[in-house]
Amino acid sequence: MTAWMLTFIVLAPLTASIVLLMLPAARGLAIRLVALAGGAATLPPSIWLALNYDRKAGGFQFEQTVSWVPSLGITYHVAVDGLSIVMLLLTALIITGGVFASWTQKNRTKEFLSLLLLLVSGVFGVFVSRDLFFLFLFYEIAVLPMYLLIGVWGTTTKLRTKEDSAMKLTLMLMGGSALILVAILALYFSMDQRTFDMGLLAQHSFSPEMQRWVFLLVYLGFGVLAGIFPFHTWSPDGHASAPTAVSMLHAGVLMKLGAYGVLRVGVALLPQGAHDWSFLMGVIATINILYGACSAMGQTDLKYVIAYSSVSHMGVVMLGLASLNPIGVNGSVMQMFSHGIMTGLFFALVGLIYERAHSRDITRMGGFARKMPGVAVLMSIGGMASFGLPATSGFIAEFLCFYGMWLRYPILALLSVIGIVITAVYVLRVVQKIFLGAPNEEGYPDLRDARTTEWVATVALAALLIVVGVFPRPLVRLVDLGLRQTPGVTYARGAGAVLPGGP
Amino acid sequence: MIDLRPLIPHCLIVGLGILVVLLDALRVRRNACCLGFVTAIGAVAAIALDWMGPDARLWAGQVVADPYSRAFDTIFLAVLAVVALASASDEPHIAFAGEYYALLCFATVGLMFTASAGSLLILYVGIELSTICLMALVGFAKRDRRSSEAAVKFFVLGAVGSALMLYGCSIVFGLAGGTEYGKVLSVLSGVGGFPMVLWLGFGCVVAGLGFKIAAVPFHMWAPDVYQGAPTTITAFMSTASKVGGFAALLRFLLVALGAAPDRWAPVVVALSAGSIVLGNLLAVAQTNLKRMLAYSGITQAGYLLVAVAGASAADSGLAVGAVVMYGMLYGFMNVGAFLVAQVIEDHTGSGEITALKGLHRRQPLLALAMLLFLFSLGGIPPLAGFVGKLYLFAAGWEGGRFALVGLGAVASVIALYYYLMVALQVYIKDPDDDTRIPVSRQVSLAVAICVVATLAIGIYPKPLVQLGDRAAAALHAYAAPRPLSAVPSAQKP
Repeated sequence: MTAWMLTFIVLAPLTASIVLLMLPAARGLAIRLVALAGGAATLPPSIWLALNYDRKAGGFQFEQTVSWVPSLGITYHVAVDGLSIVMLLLTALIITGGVFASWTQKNRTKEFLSLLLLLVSGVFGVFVSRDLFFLFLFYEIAVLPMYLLIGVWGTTTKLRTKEDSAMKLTLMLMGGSALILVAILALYFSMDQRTFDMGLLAQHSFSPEMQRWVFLLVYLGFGVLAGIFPFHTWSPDGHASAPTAVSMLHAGVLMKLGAYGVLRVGVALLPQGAHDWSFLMGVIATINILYGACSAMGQTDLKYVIAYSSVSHMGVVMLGLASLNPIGVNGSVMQMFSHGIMTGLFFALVGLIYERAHSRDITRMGGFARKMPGVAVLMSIGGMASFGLPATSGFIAEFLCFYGMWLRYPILALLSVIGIVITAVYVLRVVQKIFLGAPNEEGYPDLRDARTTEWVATVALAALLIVVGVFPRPLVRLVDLGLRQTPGVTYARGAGAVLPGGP
Repeated sequence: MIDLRPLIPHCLIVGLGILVVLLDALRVRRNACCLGFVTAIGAVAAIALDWMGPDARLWAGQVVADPYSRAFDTIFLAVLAVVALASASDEPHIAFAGEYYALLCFATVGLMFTASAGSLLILYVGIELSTICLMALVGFAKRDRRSSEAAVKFFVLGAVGSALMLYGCSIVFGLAGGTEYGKVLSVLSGVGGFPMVLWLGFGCVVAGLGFKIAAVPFHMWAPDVYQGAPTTITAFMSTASKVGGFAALLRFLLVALGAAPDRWAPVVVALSAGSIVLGNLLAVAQTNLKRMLAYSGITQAGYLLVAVAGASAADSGLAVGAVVMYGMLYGFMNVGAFLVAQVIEDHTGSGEITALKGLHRRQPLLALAMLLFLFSLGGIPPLAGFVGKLYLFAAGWEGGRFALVGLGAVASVIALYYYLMVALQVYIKDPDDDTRIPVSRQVSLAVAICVVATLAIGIYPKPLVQLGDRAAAALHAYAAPRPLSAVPSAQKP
């Protein structure tokens, strides 16, 4: 029973996705309910996993292994450690919220939700896979539906048509996966036995020279999805064109796949390579943070602001990762979780505002707080988490990232902290422009606060930001347990002890 | 007395060809569409009979029946079955339906002999049999000027390919005193170096096969012929005929030239790189669906050549298995894509990619099928094309062709662009007119078979990998040096 738990999490959205295809398009409510069931069904098992994970034993648990193609060493092998469980939780939350956020979606709803669920089952698959073949397979399943999701249901912005955004995004991400494919082949053929099993690969020590260049491939390949500079350009266009639920999933979860891949395939399998390149990773992450934040400041399209802020925040994730010490990497994973929730909330709220104001031009908004006070409050909470105000999840996450980096490359940590200040500027500016100031109501007759289904997702996400900010310990511990057994994340003397809440 | 049991399936297909002509002549096809079904059933029966037959080497190893040839026979016969099925709905409209199926059957027999060929002589006969039948089939739509033009082009260029090949065969025969691969190999091992004349001979044979698989620079005929030929024939040519070329190429290179893998590998690498780059770049520029698929087929041949380049002599590595596997799944996904193209062309009268516009509204299931074929061709999991391409690249990597694999990986991203441009029309654009596109039951069934195969192979590739492994083991055993006279028949892997 417990062995099937992870497979269930992967298959639940997939099954719902297939069932949806068979439903007649006219059955609107049934379609939405099936989609909700498929998405929400992953939530209880994820929570169950978090609660039942054996914290004493640590390591990978809830394992299931099915031999798939023995002669090539392909095995369906799933297992999770604390780190993956946190990512599963995040994904389950965001997809459930995403289905709610697309409740009023009207155009080709059935196919939309079906693709969304297909994508999410790919995401779950990546987080549970312990076999490189399946990890790559799920990775591509998670990436490709995006082309259709943006192409069909996206909006054309001033800068780019939705078809162009979709094509750009897909080709850039697929270019990344071409690099990953080459890296996987290199790993596969330097083993004595034919195996894709990451557990076995991790035990093998690859030659330093090989680690150096394979890690670079892995870093760049997955890094494209994590939005590393200069391969981030797909992200603002893609996010700005995508419909709400897709932006939520993409910025909230999908970009994390990139960082997760670098950690699991790069750092864990090629620790030496990671150490060789950590300065480069740190520099690029710092550029991401500063460049993303500055770009966000210059945008007038609300979605572009959020999209660039994602580039900046993913920089924080990669910064923590580049520190290669448990503090920083812990922070990195926490930041993935925190940013996932936060950006999910942001895009859901932007979707609401756009639906009512029919515009995303910040300069022409003002005084919206009067008509939509709830949205204003939620947006402010998200904003505060965004620049890492204490008592929000952003604080603990960013603090750990910067501190971890301080221990490794203090200069980069110092530089990147400036990013927080810039973030505060653009977040406050956005909140002030949209919600405060002189009301500009004549142009926006449809303004009103969120409604039933819309409240569910947004309030839950905002609440989570605060809950995790105040009680980070359970999550941090889960992540920490996962990291302890990750090669490449060095446990320096006493370093574990400074974690908030203790190890 | 030679044991002829391994040739029963070949005889069955020849008999089938004669049977359909007779049925047609006797006007049994009042009950329309029966000829296609008869052919399809016959092809499936031949697959079963083929696998029941014993392993054997007939006529001093000139014809070899082993799991290697059977694996390829299965591909040809499966494609024949699907194509025959899909043609069935047009039967009442085409003149000489019996001859159409008969020629298809004979072309298939030719391909089966190509896969079984253990000597250059049989190889040439097999290639010619299939090519000549296909020449007639390409021009089958006699009233259509494009079809006739395509037939002439195919005839002229095909004749050049055959002439080259025959020339090559004759040189090798003159030097080795025989055309059996075993003999060629022993002569080759005896000679210290690799004389220039032998080079010329082998080069000509490889060039002839290059025409068959449409690899750059022997690809010129493909786009025009694919575009002009009746679409079902294009489907057959682009899959079965192409894979037949690979079946022959692998056996020829690994067995006859086995002693000098370092000599022939650069040639294959060049063919592969050229096909991948040029096929891709030209495919991007196409606006006609069948032409685009023709260029994409050239690229796909390049991918297959990556694995061939990774194969080394007498090595039972991944290469053979990869080619068998990709040949099979390529058959299904490419035939599927061409069948969809045919439905659209029949209905709208246009072969342009834009004719697919808004297919998701006009025929949702067909649109979904097309999407799956396109993504599979683009190598997207969990579809068959993904596993297949990974397998090919793995084989290339194993053989040390790192740069080629890198090129292939990058090219797949470019390839995705033109597949997605079709997907854009199929799934994203809305149609100009909303009328439903009718699909006959026979074509639906054929497309459904292709969809199921594309999905099933992608999700659970194990049976096909095992098939490939058996084929590889068989070729390995065949390549192992042994006195030819000592092996009359029957060795089990």
